[in-house]
Amino acid sequence: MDVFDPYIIKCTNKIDEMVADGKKIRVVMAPPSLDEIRGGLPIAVGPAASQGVILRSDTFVELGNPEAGSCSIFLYTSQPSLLCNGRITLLGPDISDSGISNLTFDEVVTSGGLHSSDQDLELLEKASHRAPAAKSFPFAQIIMVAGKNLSENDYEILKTNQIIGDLIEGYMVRSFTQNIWSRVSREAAAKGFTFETLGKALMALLKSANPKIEAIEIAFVTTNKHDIDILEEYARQIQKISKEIVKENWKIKGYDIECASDCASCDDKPVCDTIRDVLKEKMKEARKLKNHKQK
Amino acid sequence: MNHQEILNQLDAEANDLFKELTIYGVNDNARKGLPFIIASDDALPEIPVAMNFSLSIMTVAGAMGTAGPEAATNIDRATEMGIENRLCNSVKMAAYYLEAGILPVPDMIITTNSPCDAVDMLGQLMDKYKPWADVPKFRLDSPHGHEPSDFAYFGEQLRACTREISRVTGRKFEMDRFLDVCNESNKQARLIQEFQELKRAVPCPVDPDMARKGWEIARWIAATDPAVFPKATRWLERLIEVTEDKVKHQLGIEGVDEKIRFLWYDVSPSWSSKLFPRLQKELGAVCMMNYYSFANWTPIDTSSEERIMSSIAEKYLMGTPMTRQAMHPADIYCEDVVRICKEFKCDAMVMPCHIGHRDTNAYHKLAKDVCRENGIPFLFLGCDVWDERYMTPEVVFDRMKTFFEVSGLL
Amino acid sequence: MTMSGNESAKLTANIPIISVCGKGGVGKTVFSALLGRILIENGLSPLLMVDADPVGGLVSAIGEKAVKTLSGVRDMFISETRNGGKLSAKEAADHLDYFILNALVERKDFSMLAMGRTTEKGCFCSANKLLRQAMDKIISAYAGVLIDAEAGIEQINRDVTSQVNRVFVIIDASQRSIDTLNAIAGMVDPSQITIIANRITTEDLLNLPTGIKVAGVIPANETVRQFDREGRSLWQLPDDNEAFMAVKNIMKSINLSNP
Repeated sequence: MDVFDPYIIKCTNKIDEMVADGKKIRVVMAPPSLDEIRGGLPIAVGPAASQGVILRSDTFVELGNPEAGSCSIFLYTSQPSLLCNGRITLLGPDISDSGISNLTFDEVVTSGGLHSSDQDLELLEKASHRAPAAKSFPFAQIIMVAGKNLSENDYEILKTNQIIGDLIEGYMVRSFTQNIWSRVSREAAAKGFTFETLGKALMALLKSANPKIEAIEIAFVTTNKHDIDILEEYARQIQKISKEIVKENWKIKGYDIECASDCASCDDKPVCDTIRDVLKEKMKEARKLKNHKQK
Repeated sequence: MNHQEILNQLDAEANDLFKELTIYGVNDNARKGLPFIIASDDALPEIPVAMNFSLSIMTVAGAMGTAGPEAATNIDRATEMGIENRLCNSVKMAAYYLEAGILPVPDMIITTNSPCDAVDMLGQLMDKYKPWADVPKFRLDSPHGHEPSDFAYFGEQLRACTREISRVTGRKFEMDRFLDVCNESNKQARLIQEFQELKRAVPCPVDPDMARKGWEIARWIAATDPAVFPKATRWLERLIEVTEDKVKHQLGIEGVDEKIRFLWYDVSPSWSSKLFPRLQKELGAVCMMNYYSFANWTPIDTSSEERIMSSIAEKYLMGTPMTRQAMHPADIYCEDVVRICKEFKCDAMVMPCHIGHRDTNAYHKLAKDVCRENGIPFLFLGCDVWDERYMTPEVVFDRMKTFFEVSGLL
Repeated sequence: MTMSGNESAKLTANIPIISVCGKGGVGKTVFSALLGRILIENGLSPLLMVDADPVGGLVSAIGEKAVKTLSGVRDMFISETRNGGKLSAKEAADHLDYFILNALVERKDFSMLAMGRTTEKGCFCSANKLLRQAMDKIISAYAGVLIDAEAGIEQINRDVTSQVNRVFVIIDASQRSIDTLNAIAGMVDPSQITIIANRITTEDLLNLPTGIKVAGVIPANETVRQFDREGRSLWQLPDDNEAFMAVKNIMKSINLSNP
């Protein structure tokens, strides 16, 4: 069993649970070949497909603004049978469901986007000269890839190939390392950009960059912050495993990046903490004794 | 006003404000009438702004001392005084100011071990030299890890620091006020992030160094003068507006025919005015990022007092230049290099280094390997970002030009 | 009783605490053994000698054997804490000085403490602090302390005591020994450093970098080498042995026969 297999199962089970809870679901199947995937897209995908920048004023919708909730999970396995190859699942509203908004950029930041109160909206009606902006979806992106020959050695390349840059027309991932926060342009939305588009674009990019990938399944969750937070907890656990993989890969190259002097990661921290407590108590006793003698 | 006039005005305003960061500015701050605190290295502005005191940073004053026409004389004075030569020159200058009695005596000192042991040494120096030895001190201990427990650990220290500041200065720490400041800080962070993303456009619309300037106003200058804090937001907004307009019209930096985009992953040199404009004009080479324009800030979580302090700690530990790169494992540095080059479409990476910066010297080979694996041309300079005599800007220019030629970029 | 750093310092303020440092193989242990004998003969008694070499160089150089070590005490203390929690830790901490005293090899005019080698992988600076405080208390009962510092002054500061007030740095003709000297000079007050040249020719002496002032030279000596080869105690060297006389004269010249 590969290190991430339990999490692939966890994530797919979680999605099934959400469906059972009555969350709106949409499932599409991407065609098997790269050419067919690209051919069916309303936007360009590949090097220099976009300028790499989407202005605030050109933004149709934001995905994963931190206040709204954001989570990015990437998993691989050497067992293609664990995935449903080509499946793109969307739980929650689609990009085309977002509608037009009067929210300004920084008020999206402070108000939490889709969950603004009436008072907030009233304030926003008095929006100043600032550029009109977009709503933000809470957003979780789960990418699962499989290939018989995939191993820990491929992990860093797989991670690097998730950096979108200018590879998807009308889509910009913002500079944010921990989560995923992105923009879809008005122009792309007008061309029919949906999560199906995004899913297929990601599949095309990952498959063409990594010939070892035989199957990809992607899920997007845009329901609410609570659901994102649950997936975020999985992401935190997955990150611990990822760090170990990175450490091992560096060791193979001959570098030990173990932060051995870091108390937080030392197994004996509880022992040290106990000794420190004893030290503190003894110093208190010594001070009391000294004060008593001085009296 | 046209784009360039607006940018020139923003630049002039920034340069005018930067005088506050020099040793003369530090002395002025001491006389402003606010409680006056000195930090040995980088400090967040949220606390001084919320509690309304003036915070000056020794190493920044030291770095400013290595810039300008008096730079060589200043560094030589420090050497003559016997300050250790193997120290980073910004720290060396700070130590010189202290030992020469030029640094004013503050009401309180905040010392830290971040980003390096040389800064730690400054704190120890202030333990030995009177009258600074008698000034109340608070020592911050920055952990090397980047787990939630590390951020919580550091966050607790920041909170304890505010209590000590209250005790020494009489200034109260009021959570409501602090929340307001944190929200404003988040706004500034978003604006800087917005600017970073606008830089991705080809051609780059505005000199990327403006990110550093905006950041320094919002952080360092605001810390010295809380009244500047809201002005920093407006400065950033104006910068965004003009940059967005340039991106919309696909305009690059004025007078620059952009051919090469490179990453200078270290501090921006104090002699940068003798190098980067020339690289832009003569080679069309634009420096997309350095430590100080890479403001990778996490937002401050204002949902609870505990979360505020932890998230400020995270912002400090993971977002402060040099602390991010020097206090954490080298794989963070290497990951950053790959991500920046990809996102900002950098054609090459330059690793300048500086004297005393042992961490970057230590992972020179790691960075080279990572660049090779990712097809990024890599140049290690080995110059000193503070003392231009060590490797002059002319020599650096020639080396970079040769490197770009050999890499097929020119 | 647990002391603050200042209180520890007060306890050991008037006691000469000497550390012998230098690159590996430069002759520290031989020098330490000879110096120890001279100090005792000149009245600095009782002398606490600390062998910081994990494999016990100084211990065997004076013909002794150490069954228990300071590292053993440390490992025991950590193990008690790990297995028994805070109560066990407190009890062990209360008796640390007793455990250390138990590890001493005690003779009429001196005691020998071997550092040994720890089996614990972690740094355990908290435990080191408790041990240092216990050591400072023990040291206060001696007229002087002499430490053969195998791994350098940082090891002593961390594992033994931070109150070293005299450092002998042994150099030979090699550049590496000079580099070690420079490194030590960066960590210690220069006025506390005395440089001794060991096994060095006159020509090498003249070629030393300027700024290095040598307090004295110990000549290479075949008898010392023979004793070393045979594992004999260097304290059995005859009084007129050249190397022994050289150390004696150096100590006289720097006024350190009985500090």
